[in-house]
Amino acid sequence: MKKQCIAMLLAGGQGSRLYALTRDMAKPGIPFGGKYRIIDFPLSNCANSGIDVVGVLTQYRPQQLNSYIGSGSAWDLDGGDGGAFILPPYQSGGGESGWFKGTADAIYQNIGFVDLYDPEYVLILSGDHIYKMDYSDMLAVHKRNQADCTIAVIRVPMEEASRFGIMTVDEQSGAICKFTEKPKEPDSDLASMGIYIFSWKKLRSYLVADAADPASENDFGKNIIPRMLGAGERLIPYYFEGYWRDVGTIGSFWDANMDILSSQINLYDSNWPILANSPRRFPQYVGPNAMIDHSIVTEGSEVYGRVQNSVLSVSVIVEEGATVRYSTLMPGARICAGAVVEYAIIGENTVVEQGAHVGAQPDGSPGWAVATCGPNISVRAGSVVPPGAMIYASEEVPQ
Amino acid sequence: MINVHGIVYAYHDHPDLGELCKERTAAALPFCGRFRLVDFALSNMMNAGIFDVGVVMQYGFQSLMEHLNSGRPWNMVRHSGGMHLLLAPVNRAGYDGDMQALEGIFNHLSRDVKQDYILLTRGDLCANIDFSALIEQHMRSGADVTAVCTTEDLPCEHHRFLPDESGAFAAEMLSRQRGAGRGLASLETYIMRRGLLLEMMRWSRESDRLHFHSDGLQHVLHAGWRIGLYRHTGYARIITSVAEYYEANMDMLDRDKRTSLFPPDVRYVATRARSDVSTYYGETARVTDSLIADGCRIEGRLDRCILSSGVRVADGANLRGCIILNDAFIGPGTDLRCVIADKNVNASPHIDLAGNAKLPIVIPKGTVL
Repeated sequence: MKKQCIAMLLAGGQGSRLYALTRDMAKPGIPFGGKYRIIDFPLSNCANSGIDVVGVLTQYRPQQLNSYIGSGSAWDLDGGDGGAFILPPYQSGGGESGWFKGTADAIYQNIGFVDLYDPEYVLILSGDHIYKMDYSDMLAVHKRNQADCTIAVIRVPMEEASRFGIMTVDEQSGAICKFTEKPKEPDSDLASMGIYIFSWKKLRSYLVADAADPASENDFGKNIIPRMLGAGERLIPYYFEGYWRDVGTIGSFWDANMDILSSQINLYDSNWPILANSPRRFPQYVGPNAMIDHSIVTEGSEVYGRVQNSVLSVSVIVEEGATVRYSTLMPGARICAGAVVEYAIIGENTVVEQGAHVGAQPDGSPGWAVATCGPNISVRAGSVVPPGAMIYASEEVPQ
Repeated sequence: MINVHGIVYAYHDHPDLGELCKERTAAALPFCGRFRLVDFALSNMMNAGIFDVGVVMQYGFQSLMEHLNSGRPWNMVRHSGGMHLLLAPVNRAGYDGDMQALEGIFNHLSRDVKQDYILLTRGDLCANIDFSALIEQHMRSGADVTAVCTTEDLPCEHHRFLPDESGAFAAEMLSRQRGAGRGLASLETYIMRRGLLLEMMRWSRESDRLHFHSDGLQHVLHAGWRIGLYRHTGYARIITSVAEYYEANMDMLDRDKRTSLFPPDVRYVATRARSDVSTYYGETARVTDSLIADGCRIEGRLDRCILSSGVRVADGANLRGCIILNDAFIGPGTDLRCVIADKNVNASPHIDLAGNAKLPIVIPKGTVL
């Protein structure tokens, strides 16, 4: 059962800034880009990188995620002695509650799982980014540099650097010499992508020490990384160039969906397929009077109305006379006749009834925002959901 | 465990299917954008809880084997039983009818099968049949054989049963009929005790009468066996020619026929998954009344078309009444009408082709135009 490298995917996050979408589901389970859920990206990256054991750490509202991941077969992770394993919090018998206190604590509590595979290296991932990355290349860099920890970094615009965890690299050694979480005055534009490779023995000892420290928040960025830097361990940056988006806010989530339309991330690359466990449905039907342009539509859907610059997931229905523009519609959403949905996110199985209007077009107006309707609600006939609104219950819809 | 073993005939390659069956058996024909014909037979089995199923193959089975994927899509990968891939013995001549095909799998039927009942069906049958109801009727009726019939007309050559006064059993069988006619058209799907099937096969072997219907069934009917009639009321076709293939695909643009074959909440039709992205419709795309699988990129005009996954239609292409199979590329300025473009066809600019519904044009697999 010994593995060189296994992955631990932190999928417990609530995603509170997406609250209308995450009230019943953890953020990694949110439908994205037609066929996918956010977690498909790290899972597919693992499979494509030859990592076949992935522990998925869940905590917040995990039921749908658990059912989605299943055996991992959708990502070809179920062969041989590999697999995708859901690792929920558990009671240890010591009487202490098993909730994961922080990202590092989640791994600490699962040391027993990692030890089953006796790996040389552990890859730590999070379930809330959209990107394609070859982790095997990152692992090669880690090994070549005999690093204790390798952190994936991406250059961000300097004016945005204060939103990220920023790495400062020593020019001579090429190693990371400083890490600052959300610095007010950043001295570097290298942002941590929240992707780490650790040599397991080293990480294991730091996790044990961290768990014994009552003052610690048990977090990788806040505690483990600074502690390792302080102790003079070898931390190496892995420079990533390519598409990478944090989809933690409504705006960035909507942007990333629109990025698919403009091919900023290539999902058609058969050498690096992004796989999904999406339900298998009948081919999409496009009606006699439908108009679809610059949009993606997914199987099981039926389009009779007008769809423009939009992303339609599985089993979406756009009735005749309905208009959908610059929006993303999640699985099972239905837009009824005469309804208009613009610059909006419509949650799973939500119905926008006849003549309702969700969101509005910005037409160059500054300060506009995406309108969001959570899952399983009805936007009543004739009602208006203004731009920027976020509703999660039918009762909330303004009359 | 259900006491029924399924047999799917997947060896037919009807001459009238021409180029479409040059490299594949009829059961492996792509259907309606994302399915293969054999999905119906296997899903009908699966939906009745029959997971022990033999698939009888002879020629052109490579694409079928790939599609079957050991039975996984139909939950037929089992520790015991599951899907049995029954290839014809290599040293024998081609099967000339179902009785010979059954003879080719005699050892399987007589030795390996654990169940007492055999359900025989065709891999080129396009129908969503409630096999649970069929089994129940068979067990209750006291029939020796129960035949699945359609209450509607069947365009291809077929056999018909004339019901007796009760309407429940066959009084007479008419072989090789076409279109409308007296009685009920057989969908060549039968359930009977395994012992009776083996007995019928023994008679056939000893008397050298090798046709399942005109010899075997006709014989047992005259010998006094009771052939029960199960009426299937939904859409049903057996695909034996290009025109029938074309028509059945186009029928799926009709909501009622589509719902009959693919009911939304019951008797799900399973198929092998392909991992495709969603389909992209470009700014110049104009698509109407069409069924489109995932993984396509459409920039041109489509009306009443059916696209399998991975098809690309360039800006300036104009397609009406076409069936385009997986991964084909239809270049700019192409004008196609009633054309079936097989997998990986590459139609470069300014090709103009027009067939008609009775005589669609088939562009063979991989053709570069």
